[in-house]
Amino acid sequence: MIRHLYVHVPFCAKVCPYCAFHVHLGGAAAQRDFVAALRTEWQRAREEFPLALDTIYFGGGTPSILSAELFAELACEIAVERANHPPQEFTLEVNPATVTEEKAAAWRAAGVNRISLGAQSFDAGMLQLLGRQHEPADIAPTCALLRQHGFTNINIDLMFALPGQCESAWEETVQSALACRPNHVSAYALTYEEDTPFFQRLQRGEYQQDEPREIAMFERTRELLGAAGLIDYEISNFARPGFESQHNLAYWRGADYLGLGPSACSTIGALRWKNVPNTAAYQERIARNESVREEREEIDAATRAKERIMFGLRMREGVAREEFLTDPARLEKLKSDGFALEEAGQIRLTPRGQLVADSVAAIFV
Amino acid sequence: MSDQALTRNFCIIAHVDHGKTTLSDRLLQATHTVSDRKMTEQHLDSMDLERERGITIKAHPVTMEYKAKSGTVYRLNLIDTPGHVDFAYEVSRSLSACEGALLIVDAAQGVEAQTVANVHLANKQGLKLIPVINKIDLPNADVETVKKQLEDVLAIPGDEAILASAKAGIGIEEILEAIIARIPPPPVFPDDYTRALVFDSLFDTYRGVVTYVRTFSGELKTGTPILLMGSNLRYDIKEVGIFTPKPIRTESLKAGQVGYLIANIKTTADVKIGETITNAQKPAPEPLPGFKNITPMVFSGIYPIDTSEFEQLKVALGKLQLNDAALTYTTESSVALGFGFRCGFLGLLHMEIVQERLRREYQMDIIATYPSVVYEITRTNGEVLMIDNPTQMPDPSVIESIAEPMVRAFIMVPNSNIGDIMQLVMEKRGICEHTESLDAKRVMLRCEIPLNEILVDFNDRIKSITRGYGSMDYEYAPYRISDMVKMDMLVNAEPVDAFSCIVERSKAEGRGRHIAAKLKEVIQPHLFKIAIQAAIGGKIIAREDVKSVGKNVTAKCYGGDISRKRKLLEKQKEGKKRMKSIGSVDIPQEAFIAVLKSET
Ligand SMILES: Nc1nc2c(ncn2[C@@H]2O[C@H](COP(=O)(O)OP(=O)(O)OP(=O)(O)O)[C@@H](O)[C@H]2O)c(=O)[nH]1
Ligand code: SF4
Ligand SMILES: [Mg+2]
Repeated sequence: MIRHLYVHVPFCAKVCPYCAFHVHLGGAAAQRDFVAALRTEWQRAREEFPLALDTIYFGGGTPSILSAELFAELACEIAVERANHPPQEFTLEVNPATVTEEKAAAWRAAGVNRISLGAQSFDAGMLQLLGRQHEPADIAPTCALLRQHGFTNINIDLMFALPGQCESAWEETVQSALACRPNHVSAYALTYEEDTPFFQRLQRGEYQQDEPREIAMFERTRELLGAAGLIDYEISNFARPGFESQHNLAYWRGADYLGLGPSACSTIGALRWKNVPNTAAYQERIARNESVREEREEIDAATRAKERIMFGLRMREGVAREEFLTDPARLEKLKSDGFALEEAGQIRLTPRGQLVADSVAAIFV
Repeated sequence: MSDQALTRNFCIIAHVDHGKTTLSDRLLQATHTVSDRKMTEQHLDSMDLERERGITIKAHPVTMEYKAKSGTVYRLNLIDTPGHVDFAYEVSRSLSACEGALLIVDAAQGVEAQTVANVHLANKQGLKLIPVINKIDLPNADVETVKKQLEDVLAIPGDEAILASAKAGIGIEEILEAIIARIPPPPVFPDDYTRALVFDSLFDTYRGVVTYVRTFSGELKTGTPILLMGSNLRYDIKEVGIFTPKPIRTESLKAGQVGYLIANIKTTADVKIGETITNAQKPAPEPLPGFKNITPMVFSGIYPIDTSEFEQLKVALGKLQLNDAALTYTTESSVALGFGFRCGFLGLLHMEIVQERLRREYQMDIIATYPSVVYEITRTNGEVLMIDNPTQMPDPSVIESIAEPMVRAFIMVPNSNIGDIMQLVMEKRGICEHTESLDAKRVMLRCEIPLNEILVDFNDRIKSITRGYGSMDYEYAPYRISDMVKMDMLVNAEPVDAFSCIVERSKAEGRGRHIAAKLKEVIQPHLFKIAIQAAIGGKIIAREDVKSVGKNVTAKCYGGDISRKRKLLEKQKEGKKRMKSIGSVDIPQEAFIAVLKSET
């Protein structure tokens, strides 16, 4: 039974210079064609797989860019499934300054009960550097508007370790975010992804990475959010107890999930695939009744186990000690070196281990 | 006239790059040996590596027919030789295959160290020299000064010099006429024993070993049973011929001729350069003079980066050796590098050439350890042993003394650089024995320097100090007792044998510091701090630390793209497979190269 659905909406009003997702611009007509294709993919998938959706996640891209009408169309299609099994969590990624009364109402009507707000920063300079379309002053009103429409479960996405960002500016951003009373905060250190303008600027030396400062921000984030009652249940994710993202937890715990739309990934049983990361090609194949799946990969038990360690170590709940059976010596070393600790048979990273989580995970892949 | 009277055997000697090979090209064209159409530049440098580096590695003989102005047709045998000191012995054998030599001097550079060394060699062999001042087309050519240098430095009358430009084709006919007029024909021996000198050989996949010979007396013919007088090996000749420069089969090689012979000889190691070939049924009473066994002077370990390629490396070395008898190799193993070979070379250029050929012609991914010379160690019990690898070094408590090989270097420099060069010689633990003014502008320093000190960058330093006007040549000198120590490099307290070296005590600290700093640059941060230390015995003399990883954590895993993240981590791990893991530290290949390249 597949319990988790991801839908990728590839449109953005403008492509941010650090973004490596499959995204592009797209007007009303493009959006209409896309939604039509997506509906077809969905219809085929529900015939192919047994579904009982606990979580739905609309990401992208900027799914909030879709008109109220198109969104309703899409949601109705999926609603058929939900009639006898209403999902616990239905998340929509929303960009500040794309929200209108009409859209908010449509989202609510469609059953969305969790909003992930791409705020990123409360600093005008940083937002500009990131190429975002909104201003700091847009964020709080957007939250207010969403609350008016009944959205109480709000996540705020933030980014730190930005070029030229100092610690105190980051603290201010965190404080401003907390003032919006989110139940959940995702705080991501900027990653310079290959093939992005940011990456090139880093290579050219226009941007510098400053490790000690990143570490300080990373640690400060934990302190500030922790003090506000948001617990780091994953390295980059903080929530009031009970408001953890069930959808993301499902990924990290190794559950099966279905992804729709260009570039979306799915893992079902021993199979994983990625949809073609090109909207035009995606639509063409749907029209020709061909498969949109690429990069098929067999995920054997050993690979699954590796992945559970990779992602499990990043979570507060950790990984069961038995998962390390093939490498107990390395695990002991990590513990004695202070990178990991064991509690009630579960292994998780210490704060020091969290900072080098990738190096630790690399030991076990 | 007899065949012999119509033959001239000569070679071309010069300092590196003065134009030997280019001049040979012109001679080949002027004598129509190679048609203009088929002519390629540096025609005789047939190996890729030779062309690319613009240096001559093997001897290249060629037979030319020249119709002199008198109307008589002469047979001219030219041997183009390598100019580099590593191959000095080969050069001396090529010289002894000739009666005369063209001495090329670059009109802009003038007489240089190897010009002098080569003239000494040629004089020792009693060769008639024809001085040629080459490159007179250059705007900075200074013929008068060069003539004066010939007189002052080499005691060669300046008016004997022929002015030429190999590039522009000036003076070529004059040179050819001079070869006939000034170089004597091959001498006639009073007896009819067969005597032929081996001056090089090469392994041809289809024909086996092709031996390059100069016949002094008697005759070599297909079917002749031959005896190699040095090794006492016997063969039957399968084929003889001459080079045009392509090998062409002939009836026989008569007294005075230069050419090749093919017998069922298995490897070039069986026909050493300098060997005398005689008729096995009627052997000459004495071999030709001058044969000596050449021994490698520089050693280095060569290891496959991928340990599973050991057998392939062995095969590749075997094939190289077929063609390069001076190369030696024996298996050795290193804790850090696994199984590989201890290889012996004539010198540094020879070492570089072998390594490059392994990489290029055999596609081998190899690591070479820091080169070492051969040390003579006297134990306290009087026993003497020769070691070419720091790992063989006995414990210091049982060592009475260590002696190291020396060279006598002849360094020719402009007067204004004497101070700096002397400084350099001192830095390299050398002693200047003698200084001689060559002319108003230049001096020749004669110094004794440890071979190990000139292995890596000595020549480059001379060139940079003198802005290209200085030059050096050297010969091997007797061993000298020095205060040598074995220095180990420790990575997190584990010694890495491939980084060990033997150094003079006063230089150990500097070198240790330098290697440690280099390693620090290339070893990636680990989860723990890594100490890199240089140690003599138990004493640490230098230390650098590689800080532990500060932060390495991907912020986000998006859209369920779990494979992407896993693959990134797998890639990190894959990179580690190409590293050598010492203790728990992963040392990248570059570390071995960085240490090799580092000199202080
Ligand atoms: N201008 C000028 N350049 C020349 C002349 N003869 C040779 N050269 C150049 O000098 C360089 C060295 O020439 P080579 O013929 O390779 O010298 P070589 O003596 O054989 O060098 P090794 O074999 O390395 O000892 C090449 O770049 C030639 O083109 C000349 O007459 N005039
Ligand atoms: S809004 Fe988000 S998805 Fe769109 S380009 Fe910017 S970072 Fe990428
Ligand atoms: Mg040459």
